Amino acid sequence: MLGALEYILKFVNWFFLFYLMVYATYLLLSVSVGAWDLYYANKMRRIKNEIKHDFYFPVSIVVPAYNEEVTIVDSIESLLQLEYRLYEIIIVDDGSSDDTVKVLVEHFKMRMVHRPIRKRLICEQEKAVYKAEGLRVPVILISKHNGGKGDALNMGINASSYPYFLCIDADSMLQADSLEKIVQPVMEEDNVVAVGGLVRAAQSLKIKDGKRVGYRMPWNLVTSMQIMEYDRSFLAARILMDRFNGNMIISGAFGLFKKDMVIAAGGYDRETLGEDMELVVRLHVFCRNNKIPYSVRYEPDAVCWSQVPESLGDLRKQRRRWHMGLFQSLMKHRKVFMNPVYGWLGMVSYLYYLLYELLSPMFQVIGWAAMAASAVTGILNWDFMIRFYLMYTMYNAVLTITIFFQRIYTLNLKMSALDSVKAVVVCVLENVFFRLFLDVVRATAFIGYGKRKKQWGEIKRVKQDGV
Amino acid sequence: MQQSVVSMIIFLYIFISAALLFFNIIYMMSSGTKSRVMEYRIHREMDEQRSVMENVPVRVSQHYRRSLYKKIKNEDGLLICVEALERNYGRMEEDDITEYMIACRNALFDAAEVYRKKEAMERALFAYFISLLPEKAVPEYYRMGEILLSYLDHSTVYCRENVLQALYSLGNEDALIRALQTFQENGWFHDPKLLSDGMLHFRGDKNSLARRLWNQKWDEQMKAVLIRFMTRLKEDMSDLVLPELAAGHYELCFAAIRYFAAHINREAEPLLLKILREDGDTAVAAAQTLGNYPDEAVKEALKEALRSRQWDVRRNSAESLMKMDLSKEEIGQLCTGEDRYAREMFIYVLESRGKTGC
Repeated sequence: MLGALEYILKFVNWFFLFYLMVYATYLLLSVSVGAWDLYYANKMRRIKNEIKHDFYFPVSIVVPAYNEEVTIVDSIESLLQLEYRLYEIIIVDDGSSDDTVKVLVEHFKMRMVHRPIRKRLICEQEKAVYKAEGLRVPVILISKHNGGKGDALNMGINASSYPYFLCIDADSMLQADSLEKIVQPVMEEDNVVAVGGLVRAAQSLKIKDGKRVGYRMPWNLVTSMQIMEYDRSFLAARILMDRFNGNMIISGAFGLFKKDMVIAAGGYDRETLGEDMELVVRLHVFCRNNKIPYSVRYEPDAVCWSQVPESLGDLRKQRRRWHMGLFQSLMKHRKVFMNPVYGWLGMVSYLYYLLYELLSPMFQVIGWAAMAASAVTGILNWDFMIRFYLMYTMYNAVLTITIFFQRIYTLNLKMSALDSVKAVVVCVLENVFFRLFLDVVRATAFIGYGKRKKQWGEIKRVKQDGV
Repeated sequence: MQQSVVSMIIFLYIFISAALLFFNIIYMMSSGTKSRVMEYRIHREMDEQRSVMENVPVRVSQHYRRSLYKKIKNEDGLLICVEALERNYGRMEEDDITEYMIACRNALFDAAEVYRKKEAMERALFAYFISLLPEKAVPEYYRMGEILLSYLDHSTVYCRENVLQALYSLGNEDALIRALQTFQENGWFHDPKLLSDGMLHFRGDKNSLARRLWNQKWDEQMKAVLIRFMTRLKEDMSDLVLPELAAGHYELCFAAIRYFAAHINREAEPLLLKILREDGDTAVAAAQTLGNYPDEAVKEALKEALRSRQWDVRRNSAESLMKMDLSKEEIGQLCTGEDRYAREMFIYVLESRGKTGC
């Protein structure tokens, strides 16, 4: 009996070590590739290798909102400051129980119109349509019955007038040049069906009239650790996967899509919690199944500042939701897994998301527990276990610090010395505690899963002026 | 043994990450210093250019041309010259810049030959430099177009765009046509909007360019680009575009319909009506264009199109009808018509125009 237990623990230990080493290798490779690409892109811009045009193409910005009365006006104001010639803003209120509609109607002096909406995608019925007058771009507000985020996005797509739409969260803010940057891949390459941008934590930003006027590390540890986490995940996964058209996620907070293709693929799934990922995977599957040449791109210079949860409770809610969304998306498109028909997407991206995103929390919790049990039973010596944990954590921390400062540099952000020191400390803390906390949250995400279908992931919002 | 292998690997990774971090820090610090040095050199170059421009015949000597050539044949030197010239545009008379650029042409031609053998991103920078030429200096640089064409070999999208910009600036029809042919032969994608809008910056005779381009052999996509370019020109080229209305190719037909929205030609009206009645993919554009052809036949066709199976056709037909003089009776009929879609669309368009009548 003891012999069998020892055998199992040994197997789990070595599997876990192998698992971590593969991840460490992947991380190193992706960060190196990402760093190279970002420096190269910087150089290209410096020596006039860029596409500049007075007039690109019209874009509809779709902003789904649910109980966003605190931040929605600031967000829309930031969208009105974009340096872009032709765009429209479509806000879709998904049956909010607060005063989201009222604050918008009053602030932008909107009036009700009887605008028919062509329902090319299934969504709940609209209650009222409002239109703002006298603004530099058309602003439409659609108040509809509650149906979830995917449903609200479908409504926004239905009401949009232009061939490309940008989806953005209601608590997010764009820099003045964000729209111009995110359309660049479409100008450079034929067949681009979707483009993702870089999402960063808005709490670290001071913005005025669409321009950054300051950047700092917040004192709130939950917020600052997420800043590190966002930078690492965007640089680590997106740029490398972009090289082989393997990106499976475009954040719902900031993504540009070709409307016709999204409609042809069926629009956002109204039943999935991770509707953003599900749509991207479906676009891959749809294009490959129908032999349509396509690419899904990532544009690291297009930046969106999105509010991140400030309390552990809100963060827990958000991550459980994301993890369930990931599970639903991967399960729904399981035929992609290791299927050569889907090329690198099936052989690498899907595998990565399955092993290092979906199953990672389980592996981490079980793996570290098995190592601890092995140390207690004498199978593994304590010295090795502690040394390994410290070294592995240090490795991740150093890599995170590298990524963070590289993004600070390439985005031309200025930080004080105090904030730099804070960033280093936060990097270490994030790798020691925060990742473990998130692993536990995600490992238990499925408890009570059925009850939360179609719900919006509400987190407490703060007014951006207060930062 | 196995434990020490794992430790070794982790140590190695930590070492590589630390090296990466170290490299990043050094890179950031050095690039900060480098950009300050560049800024200083740009200001020095601006002063030098301005002092030379003040007395070009005396100051642009053989020696100056040789030193300019040496300067711009490497990437940093060229970037400094480009930045300095761009900034001097706002501070110097254009005639002075023109005289300077003409006097320096030999140095630029020599440098252009050197850049033929360089990387695409460096060729792109040189092409960008040429696109900055003042208009009056262009005749002296006309044959630069031939050299720029060679920059297209093994190029990137940025290099191709900068070469096109340079060719527009040079106003060199032959070179531009050959460049576009090269694009087509190699199947290079270049955004149609960039092409059609870019041609508007052509410094030669745009009408002549349009006609010459039209006479070449192009695929449908390029022909649609040309029609979009012609749409923005003042000269009427209906004779070239009219046959495309019946050509059957979606993009071409779409571009042609748009053309006749900007260039009213009664000969196009029957074809536009036919497209609208057929209610195919291009009917949506026809419904919009016909708003510029007000007469009874068009009005009746648009009323009919309010019942189209296509939502966009109904919307555009309603908008086009709004442009026409509808009697109160006609407005009343449309507002109370049997077809719900037609009614809703018409009322919405009426309302959004701030009109009443329903």
